[in-house]
Amino acid sequence: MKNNILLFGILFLLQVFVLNKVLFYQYIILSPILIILLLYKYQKNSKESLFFSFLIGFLIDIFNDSLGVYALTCLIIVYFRNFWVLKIVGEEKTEEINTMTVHELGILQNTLYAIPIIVLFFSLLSLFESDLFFSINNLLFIIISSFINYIFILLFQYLFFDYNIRDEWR
Amino acid sequence: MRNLIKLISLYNYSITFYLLLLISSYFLITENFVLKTKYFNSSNYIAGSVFSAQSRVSEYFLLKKKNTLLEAENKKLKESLTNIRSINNFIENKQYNFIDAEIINNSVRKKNNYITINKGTKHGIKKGMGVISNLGIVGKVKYVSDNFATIISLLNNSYFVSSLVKNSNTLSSVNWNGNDPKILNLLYVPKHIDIQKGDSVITSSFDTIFPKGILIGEIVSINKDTNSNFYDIDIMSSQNFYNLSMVYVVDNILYQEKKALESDTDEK
Repeated sequence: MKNNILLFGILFLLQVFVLNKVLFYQYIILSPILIILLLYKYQKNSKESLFFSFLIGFLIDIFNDSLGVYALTCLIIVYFRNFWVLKIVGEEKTEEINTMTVHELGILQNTLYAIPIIVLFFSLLSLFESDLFFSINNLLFIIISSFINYIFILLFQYLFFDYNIRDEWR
Repeated sequence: MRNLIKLISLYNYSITFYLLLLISSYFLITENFVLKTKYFNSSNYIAGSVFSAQSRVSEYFLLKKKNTLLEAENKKLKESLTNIRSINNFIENKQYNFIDAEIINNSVRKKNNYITINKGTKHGIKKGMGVISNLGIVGKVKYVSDNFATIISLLNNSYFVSSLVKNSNTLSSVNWNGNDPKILNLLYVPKHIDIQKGDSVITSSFDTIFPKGILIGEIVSINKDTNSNFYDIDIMSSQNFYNLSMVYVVDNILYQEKKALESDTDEK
Protein backbone atom coordinates (compact mmCIF):
# COMPACT_ATOMS: atom_id res chain seq x y z
CA MET A 1 0.00 0.00 0.00
CA LYS A 2 2.86 2.36 0.95
CA ASN A 3 4.59 1.60 -2.34
CA ASN A 4 1.36 2.24 -4.14
CA ILE A 5 0.92 5.73 -2.68
CA LEU A 6 4.61 6.57 -3.09
CA LEU A 7 4.53 5.53 -6.74
CA PHE A 8 1.38 7.54 -7.36
CA GLY A 9 2.94 10.60 -5.68
CA ILE A 10 6.16 10.37 -7.68
CA LEU A 11 4.38 9.87 -11.01
CA PHE A 12 1.95 12.70 -10.31
CA LEU A 13 4.74 15.14 -9.35
CA LEU A 14 6.77 14.08 -12.37
CA GLN A 15 3.77 14.71 -14.62
CA VAL A 16 2.82 18.07 -13.13
CA PHE A 17 6.19 19.70 -12.48
CA VAL A 18 8.43 18.29 -15.17
CA LEU A 19 6.88 16.46 -18.08
CA ASN A 20 3.81 18.66 -18.56
CA LYS A 21 6.16 21.50 -19.43
CA VAL A 22 8.30 19.62 -21.91
CA LEU A 23 7.54 18.99 -25.55
CA PHE A 24 10.30 16.83 -27.01
CA TYR A 25 11.06 17.46 -30.69
CA GLN A 26 7.69 19.22 -31.06
CA TYR A 27 5.74 15.94 -31.21
CA ILE A 28 6.43 14.02 -28.02
CA ILE A 29 5.05 14.40 -24.54
CA LEU A 30 5.58 11.85 -21.81
CA SER A 31 2.60 11.17 -19.57
CA PRO A 32 3.55 9.04 -16.57
CA ILE A 33 -0.01 9.37 -15.30
CA LEU A 34 -0.86 6.78 -17.97
CA ILE A 35 1.08 4.24 -15.92
CA ILE A 36 -1.39 4.63 -13.07
CA LEU A 37 -4.42 4.56 -15.36
CA LEU A 38 -3.16 1.47 -17.18
CA LEU A 39 -1.72 -0.66 -14.44
CA TYR A 40 -3.93 -0.48 -11.38
CA LYS A 41 -6.12 -3.44 -10.49
CA TYR A 42 -9.35 -3.98 -12.39
CA GLN A 43 -12.53 -4.19 -10.35
CA LYS A 44 -15.81 -4.86 -12.07
CA ASN A 45 -18.11 -1.82 -12.31
CA SER A 46 -15.99 0.11 -9.83
CA LYS A 47 -17.36 3.60 -9.31
CA GLU A 48 -14.27 4.36 -7.24
CA SER A 49 -12.06 3.94 -10.33
CA LEU A 50 -14.17 6.53 -12.17
CA PHE A 51 -14.00 9.02 -9.30
CA PHE A 52 -10.28 8.33 -8.93
CA SER A 53 -9.57 9.02 -12.61
CA PHE A 54 -11.71 12.16 -12.57
CA LEU A 55 -9.87 13.40 -9.48
CA ILE A 56 -6.39 12.71 -10.93
CA GLY A 57 -7.37 14.52 -14.12
CA PHE A 58 -8.83 17.43 -12.19
CA LEU A 59 -5.65 17.74 -10.08
CA ILE A 60 -3.51 17.82 -13.22
CA ASP A 61 -5.86 20.44 -14.68
CA ILE A 62 -5.31 22.65 -11.63
CA PHE A 63 -1.57 22.69 -12.21
CA ASN A 64 -1.94 22.87 -15.97
CA ASP A 65 -4.50 25.70 -16.30
CA SER A 66 -6.56 23.41 -18.53
CA LEU A 67 -9.96 23.29 -16.88
CA GLY A 68 -11.61 19.95 -17.79
CA VAL A 69 -9.13 18.64 -20.38
CA TYR A 70 -7.38 16.02 -18.24
CA ALA A 71 -10.45 15.33 -16.08
CA LEU A 72 -12.46 14.35 -19.15
CA THR A 73 -9.58 12.49 -20.80
CA CYS A 74 -8.73 10.40 -17.70
CA LEU A 75 -12.39 9.59 -17.09
CA ILE A 76 -12.96 8.34 -20.64
CA ILE A 77 -9.69 6.40 -20.57
CA VAL A 78 -10.62 4.53 -17.40
CA TYR A 79 -14.13 3.78 -18.67
CA PHE A 80 -12.66 2.47 -21.92
CA ARG A 81 -9.94 0.57 -20.05
CA ASN A 82 -12.49 -1.24 -17.89
CA PHE A 83 -14.30 -2.31 -21.04
CA TRP A 84 -11.20 -3.08 -23.11
CA VAL A 85 -9.45 -5.22 -20.50
CA LEU A 86 -12.40 -7.64 -20.50
CA LYS A 87 -12.22 -7.94 -24.28
CA ILE A 88 -8.49 -8.61 -24.29
CA VAL A 89 -7.93 -10.63 -21.15
CA GLY A 90 -11.38 -12.03 -20.39
CA GLU A 91 -13.42 -11.60 -17.20
CA GLU A 92 -12.16 -14.68 -15.38
CA LYS A 93 -8.46 -13.98 -15.81
CA THR A 94 -8.91 -10.24 -15.21
CA GLU A 95 -10.28 -10.80 -11.73
CA GLU A 96 -7.27 -12.97 -10.82
CA ILE A 97 -4.77 -10.34 -11.94
CA ASN A 98 -3.67 -7.67 -9.47
CA THR A 99 -1.85 -5.24 -11.72
CA MET A 100 -2.10 -5.09 -15.48
CA THR A 101 1.66 -5.37 -15.95
CA VAL A 102 3.60 -7.06 -18.69
CA HIS A 103 4.72 -9.65 -16.09
CA GLU A 104 1.14 -10.71 -15.49
CA LEU A 105 -0.28 -10.37 -18.99
CA GLY A 106 2.66 -11.31 -21.18
CA ILE A 107 4.09 -9.07 -23.88
CA LEU A 108 1.48 -9.81 -26.58
CA GLN A 109 -1.57 -9.31 -24.39
CA ASN A 110 0.03 -6.28 -22.75
CA THR A 111 0.63 -4.69 -26.14
CA LEU A 112 -2.92 -5.40 -27.30
CA TYR A 113 -4.25 -4.01 -24.03
CA ALA A 114 -2.07 -0.91 -23.71
CA ILE A 115 -1.62 0.48 -27.22
CA PRO A 116 -5.30 1.33 -27.99
CA ILE A 117 -5.65 2.97 -24.57
CA ILE A 118 -2.51 5.05 -25.06
CA VAL A 119 -3.56 6.06 -28.60
CA LEU A 120 -7.01 7.02 -27.31
CA PHE A 121 -5.41 9.07 -24.51
CA PHE A 122 -3.33 11.18 -26.90
CA SER A 123 -6.16 11.42 -29.45
CA LEU A 124 -8.45 12.83 -26.75
CA LEU A 125 -5.77 15.23 -25.50
CA SER A 126 -5.19 16.38 -29.03
CA LEU A 127 -8.92 16.72 -29.70
CA PHE A 128 -9.55 18.81 -26.58
CA GLU A 129 -6.40 20.92 -26.79
CA SER A 130 -6.07 21.59 -30.48
CA ASP A 131 -8.28 23.46 -32.92
CA LEU A 132 -7.18 21.53 -35.97
CA PHE A 133 -7.66 17.90 -34.95
CA PHE A 134 -7.43 16.54 -38.48
CA SER A 135 -3.97 17.76 -39.32
CA ILE A 136 -0.71 16.00 -40.08
CA ASN A 137 0.92 17.62 -37.06
CA ASN A 138 -1.75 16.21 -34.75
CA LEU A 139 -1.57 12.79 -36.34
CA LEU A 140 2.20 12.75 -35.94
CA PHE A 141 1.82 13.90 -32.34
CA ILE A 142 -0.62 11.07 -31.57
CA ILE A 143 1.43 8.35 -33.28
CA ILE A 144 4.86 9.37 -32.01
CA SER A 145 3.76 10.21 -28.47
CA SER A 146 1.79 6.95 -28.21
CA PHE A 147 4.74 4.89 -29.39
CA ILE A 148 7.27 6.60 -27.10
CA ASN A 149 4.92 6.40 -24.12
CA TYR A 150 4.34 2.69 -24.71
CA ILE A 151 8.11 2.09 -24.68
CA PHE A 152 8.41 4.30 -21.58
CA ILE A 153 5.65 2.38 -19.76
CA LEU A 154 7.15 -0.96 -20.78
CA LEU A 155 10.60 0.09 -19.52
CA PHE A 156 9.06 1.40 -16.32
CA GLN A 157 7.42 -1.97 -15.69
CA TYR A 158 10.63 -3.90 -16.30
CA LEU A 159 12.63 -1.53 -14.09
CA PHE A 160 10.26 -0.96 -11.16
CA PHE A 161 7.71 -3.76 -11.19
CA ASP A 162 9.85 -6.68 -10.19
CA TYR A 163 8.19 -9.54 -8.35
CA ASN A 164 8.86 -8.10 -4.87
CA ILE A 165 7.07 -4.87 -5.62
CA ARG A 166 4.24 -6.78 -7.22
CA ASP A 167 3.77 -8.78 -4.03
CA GLU A 168 3.62 -5.63 -1.95
CA TRP A 169 1.29 -3.97 -4.45
CA ARG A 170 -1.18 -6.75 -3.57
CA MET B 1 -40.03 4.24 -6.41
CA ARG B 2 -38.60 0.85 -5.54
CA ASN B 3 -38.16 0.10 -9.25
CA LEU B 4 -36.38 3.41 -9.71
CA ILE B 5 -33.95 2.65 -6.87
CA LYS B 6 -33.43 -0.83 -8.33
CA LEU B 7 -32.74 0.66 -11.74
CA ILE B 8 -30.29 3.19 -10.32
CA SER B 9 -28.45 0.57 -8.31
CA LEU B 10 -28.32 -1.67 -11.38
CA TYR B 11 -26.80 1.00 -13.58
CA ASN B 12 -24.98 3.05 -10.97
CA TYR B 13 -21.61 2.51 -12.70
CA SER B 14 -22.88 3.94 -15.99
CA ILE B 15 -24.81 6.68 -14.22
CA THR B 16 -21.66 7.71 -12.32
CA PHE B 17 -19.70 7.73 -15.56
CA TYR B 18 -22.22 9.88 -17.44
CA LEU B 19 -22.56 12.23 -14.48
CA LEU B 20 -18.79 12.77 -14.26
CA LEU B 21 -18.64 13.01 -18.06
CA LEU B 22 -21.23 15.76 -17.94
CA ILE B 23 -19.36 17.68 -15.22
CA SER B 24 -15.98 17.47 -16.94
CA SER B 25 -17.49 18.32 -20.35
CA TYR B 26 -19.12 21.36 -18.78
CA PHE B 27 -15.75 22.43 -17.34
CA LEU B 28 -14.19 22.02 -20.76
CA ILE B 29 -16.68 23.87 -22.91
CA THR B 30 -18.05 26.45 -20.51
CA GLU B 31 -17.49 30.11 -21.17
CA ASN B 32 -19.06 30.89 -17.80
CA PHE B 33 -17.02 33.85 -16.64
CA VAL B 34 -17.74 33.46 -12.91
CA LEU B 35 -16.80 29.76 -12.93
CA LYS B 36 -13.64 30.41 -14.95
CA THR B 37 -12.60 33.30 -12.72
CA LYS B 38 -13.19 31.22 -9.60
CA TYR B 39 -11.34 28.27 -11.11
CA PHE B 40 -8.34 30.31 -12.22
CA ASN B 41 -8.19 32.17 -8.92
CA SER B 42 -8.35 28.96 -6.90
CA SER B 43 -5.90 27.16 -9.14
CA ASN B 44 -3.67 30.26 -8.97
CA TYR B 45 -3.77 30.00 -5.20
CA ILE B 46 -3.02 26.26 -5.05
CA ALA B 47 -0.70 25.86 -8.02
CA GLY B 48 0.85 29.30 -7.54
CA SER B 49 1.99 28.52 -4.01
CA VAL B 50 3.46 25.17 -5.06
CA PHE B 51 5.07 26.54 -8.21
CA SER B 52 6.59 29.41 -6.20
CA ALA B 53 8.37 26.90 -4.00
CA GLN B 54 9.49 24.93 -7.03
CA SER B 55 10.60 28.12 -8.74
CA ARG B 56 12.76 29.12 -5.77
CA VAL B 57 14.70 25.87 -6.10
CA SER B 58 15.04 25.86 -9.88
CA GLU B 59 15.86 29.57 -9.89
CA TYR B 60 19.08 28.87 -8.03
CA PHE B 61 20.33 26.65 -10.85
CA LEU B 62 19.39 29.21 -13.50
CA LEU B 63 21.18 32.14 -11.90
CA LYS B 64 24.06 32.19 -14.38
CA LYS B 65 21.77 32.13 -17.40
CA LYS B 66 19.55 34.78 -15.87
CA ASN B 67 22.55 36.96 -15.18
CA THR B 68 23.60 36.83 -18.82
CA LEU B 69 20.07 37.73 -19.92
CA LEU B 70 19.92 40.63 -17.48
CA GLU B 71 23.28 41.94 -18.67
CA ALA B 72 22.03 41.90 -22.26
CA GLU B 73 18.80 43.59 -21.21
CA ASN B 74 20.69 46.19 -19.22
CA LYS B 75 22.82 47.02 -22.25
CA LYS B 76 19.74 47.36 -24.42
CA LEU B 77 18.01 49.57 -21.87
CA LYS B 78 21.04 51.84 -21.59
CA GLU B 79 21.03 52.27 -25.36
CA SER B 80 17.31 53.06 -25.33
CA LEU B 81 17.77 55.52 -22.52
CA THR B 82 20.43 57.37 -24.46
CA ASN B 83 18.01 57.75 -27.36
CA ILE B 84 15.14 58.72 -25.14
CA ARG B 85 17.12 61.41 -23.31
CA SER B 86 17.37 63.32 -26.53
CA ILE B 87 13.60 63.74 -26.46
CA ASN B 88 13.21 66.59 -24.00
CA ASN B 89 9.59 66.09 -23.11
CA PHE B 90 9.88 62.43 -22.29
CA ILE B 91 9.50 62.82 -18.54
CA GLU B 92 6.47 65.07 -18.80
CA ASN B 93 4.76 62.64 -21.12
CA LYS B 94 5.60 59.52 -19.19
CA GLN B 95 2.71 57.18 -19.88
CA TYR B 96 3.77 53.72 -18.74
CA ASN B 97 4.94 52.12 -15.51
CA PHE B 98 6.51 48.69 -15.50
CA ILE B 99 6.04 46.11 -12.73
CA ASP B 100 8.60 43.33 -12.83
CA ALA B 101 7.39 39.80 -12.15
CA GLU B 102 8.68 36.30 -12.24
CA ILE B 103 7.11 33.46 -14.18
CA ILE B 104 6.19 30.52 -12.01
CA ASN B 105 4.21 28.45 -14.49
CA ASN B 106 4.19 28.41 -18.27
CA SER B 107 2.96 26.16 -21.06
CA VAL B 108 3.59 26.16 -24.81
CA ARG B 109 2.07 22.96 -26.11
CA LYS B 110 -1.65 23.63 -25.70
CA LYS B 111 -3.86 25.60 -28.08
CA ASN B 112 -4.75 27.99 -25.28
CA ASN B 113 -1.63 28.57 -23.23
CA TYR B 114 -1.51 30.52 -20.00
CA ILE B 115 1.35 31.83 -17.87
CA THR B 116 1.27 32.37 -14.11
CA ILE B 117 3.33 35.15 -12.50
CA ASN B 118 4.18 35.78 -8.86
CA LYS B 119 2.56 39.23 -8.61
CA GLY B 120 -1.10 40.06 -8.04
CA THR B 121 -3.47 42.83 -6.97
CA LYS B 122 -1.28 43.50 -3.92
CA HIS B 123 1.49 44.60 -6.28
CA GLY B 124 -0.71 46.74 -8.49
CA ILE B 125 -1.51 44.21 -11.19
CA LYS B 126 -4.92 44.67 -12.80
CA LYS B 127 -6.90 42.66 -15.30
CA GLY B 128 -6.17 43.60 -18.91
CA MET B 129 -2.63 44.93 -18.42
CA GLY B 130 -0.06 44.04 -21.07
CA VAL B 131 2.96 41.84 -20.33
CA ILE B 132 6.33 42.13 -22.09
CA SER B 133 9.86 40.86 -21.66
CA ASN B 134 13.18 42.11 -22.96
CA LEU B 135 12.60 40.13 -26.20
CA GLY B 136 9.11 41.35 -27.01
CA ILE B 137 5.51 40.95 -26.01
CA VAL B 138 4.33 38.04 -23.88
CA GLY B 139 0.57 38.46 -23.38
CA LYS B 140 -2.15 40.12 -21.37
CA VAL B 141 -3.29 39.72 -17.75
CA LYS B 142 -6.42 37.56 -17.69
CA TYR B 143 -7.17 36.80 -14.03
CA VAL B 144 -5.67 38.29 -10.87
CA SER B 145 -5.66 37.03 -7.28
CA ASP B 146 -3.97 38.72 -4.32
CA ASN B 147 -0.49 37.32 -4.96
CA PHE B 148 -0.65 35.82 -8.44
CA ALA B 149 -1.89 36.61 -11.91
CA THR B 150 -2.66 34.45 -14.94
CA ILE B 151 -1.47 35.78 -18.27
CA ILE B 152 -3.19 34.89 -21.51
CA SER B 153 -0.11 34.04 -23.54
CA LEU B 154 0.55 35.22 -27.08
CA LEU B 155 0.49 31.47 -27.75
CA ASN B 156 -3.24 31.38 -27.26
CA ASN B 157 -5.68 30.85 -30.12
CA SER B 158 -8.15 33.37 -28.83
CA TYR B 159 -5.70 36.24 -28.33
CA PHE B 160 -5.17 38.92 -31.00
CA VAL B 161 -2.62 41.73 -30.71
CA SER B 162 -2.92 44.98 -32.57
CA SER B 163 0.26 45.42 -34.61
CA LEU B 164 2.06 47.45 -37.25
CA VAL B 165 4.38 46.37 -40.02
CA LYS B 166 7.27 48.67 -39.21
CA ASN B 167 8.43 49.62 -42.71
CA SER B 168 5.02 50.44 -44.14
CA ASN B 169 3.21 51.36 -40.91
CA THR B 170 0.38 49.00 -41.92
CA LEU B 171 -2.12 48.26 -39.18
CA SER B 172 -2.64 44.53 -38.67
CA SER B 173 -3.31 41.85 -36.07
CA VAL B 174 -1.14 39.05 -34.76
CA ASN B 175 -2.56 35.71 -33.69
CA TRP B 176 -1.16 32.20 -33.04
CA ASN B 177 -2.66 29.31 -35.03
CA GLY B 178 -1.87 26.65 -32.44
CA ASN B 179 0.90 24.81 -34.28
CA ASP B 180 4.52 25.92 -33.98
CA PRO B 181 5.19 28.06 -30.86
CA LYS B 182 7.81 30.05 -32.80
CA ILE B 183 5.53 31.00 -35.70
CA LEU B 184 2.68 33.54 -35.48
CA ASN B 185 0.19 34.70 -38.12
CA LEU B 186 0.00 38.28 -39.28
CA LEU B 187 -3.57 39.06 -40.27
CA TYR B 188 -5.42 41.72 -42.26
CA VAL B 189 -2.53 43.07 -44.33
CA PRO B 190 -4.13 44.09 -47.68
CA LYS B 191 -2.56 42.72 -50.85
CA HIS B 192 -1.84 46.16 -52.33
CA ILE B 193 0.64 46.94 -49.53
CA ASP B 194 4.26 46.28 -50.36
CA ILE B 195 5.81 44.10 -47.69
CA GLN B 196 8.99 42.08 -47.64
CA LYS B 197 10.39 39.08 -45.81
CA GLY B 198 12.44 40.31 -42.89
CA ASP B 199 10.15 43.28 -42.12
CA SER B 200 9.68 43.80 -38.40
CA VAL B 201 6.24 43.64 -36.81
CA ILE B 202 5.73 45.83 -33.75
CA THR B 203 2.92 46.74 -31.36
CA SER B 204 0.65 49.56 -32.50
CA SER B 205 -0.45 50.89 -29.08
CA PHE B 206 -4.03 51.15 -30.46
CA ASP B 207 -5.19 48.59 -27.91
CA THR B 208 -3.87 50.91 -25.15
CA ILE B 209 -2.16 48.10 -23.28
CA PHE B 210 1.26 48.04 -24.94
CA PRO B 211 3.53 50.98 -25.72
CA LYS B 212 4.06 51.53 -29.43
CA GLY B 213 7.08 49.84 -30.98
CA ILE B 214 7.52 46.72 -28.86
CA LEU B 215 8.84 43.98 -31.13
CA ILE B 216 6.52 41.06 -31.90
CA GLY B 217 8.48 39.31 -34.64
CA GLU B 218 9.86 39.29 -38.14
CA ILE B 219 8.10 38.27 -41.36
CA VAL B 220 9.36 34.90 -42.60
CA SER B 221 6.85 33.93 -45.28
CA ILE B 222 4.31 35.76 -47.43
CA ASN B 223 1.60 33.95 -49.37
CA LYS B 224 -0.28 36.04 -51.92
CA ASP B 225 -2.27 33.15 -53.41
CA THR B 226 -5.27 33.42 -51.15
CA ASN B 227 -8.94 33.90 -52.01
CA SER B 228 -9.25 36.92 -49.75
CA ASN B 229 -8.00 40.50 -50.12
CA PHE B 230 -5.34 39.90 -47.51
CA TYR B 231 -1.94 38.22 -47.48
CA ASP B 232 -1.33 35.01 -45.59
CA ILE B 233 1.77 35.95 -43.58
CA ASP B 234 3.86 34.01 -41.07
CA ILE B 235 6.13 35.80 -38.64
CA MET B 236 8.90 34.41 -36.48
CA SER B 237 8.14 35.39 -32.89
CA SER B 238 10.86 37.48 -31.25
CA GLN B 239 9.85 35.95 -27.94
CA ASN B 240 11.26 32.62 -26.82
CA PHE B 241 8.42 31.15 -24.78
CA TYR B 242 10.43 28.06 -23.88
CA ASN B 243 12.74 29.83 -21.46
CA LEU B 244 10.79 32.83 -20.26
CA SER B 245 11.60 33.68 -16.67
CA MET B 246 11.27 37.45 -16.06
CA VAL B 247 8.54 39.69 -17.43
CA TYR B 248 7.31 43.26 -17.02
CA VAL B 249 3.65 44.08 -16.56
CA VAL B 250 2.79 47.30 -18.36
CA ASP B 251 0.68 49.77 -16.43
CA ASN B 252 -0.67 52.44 -18.78
CA ILE B 253 -1.33 55.47 -16.58
CA LEU B 254 -3.57 57.06 -19.19
CA TYR B 255 -5.60 53.90 -19.89
CA GLN B 256 -8.76 54.96 -18.05
CA GLU B 257 -8.66 58.48 -19.50
CA LYS B 258 -8.33 57.19 -23.07
CA LYS B 259 -11.04 54.53 -22.63
CA ALA B 260 -13.46 57.04 -21.05
CA LEU B 261 -12.91 59.51 -23.90
CA GLU B 262 -13.38 56.80 -26.53
CA SER B 263 -16.57 55.50 -24.94
CA ASP B 264 -17.94 59.06 -24.71
CA THR B 265 -17.19 59.49 -28.39
CA ASP B 266 -18.91 56.20 -29.24
CA GLU B 267 -22.04 57.20 -27.34
CA LYS B 268 -22.29 60.48 -29.22
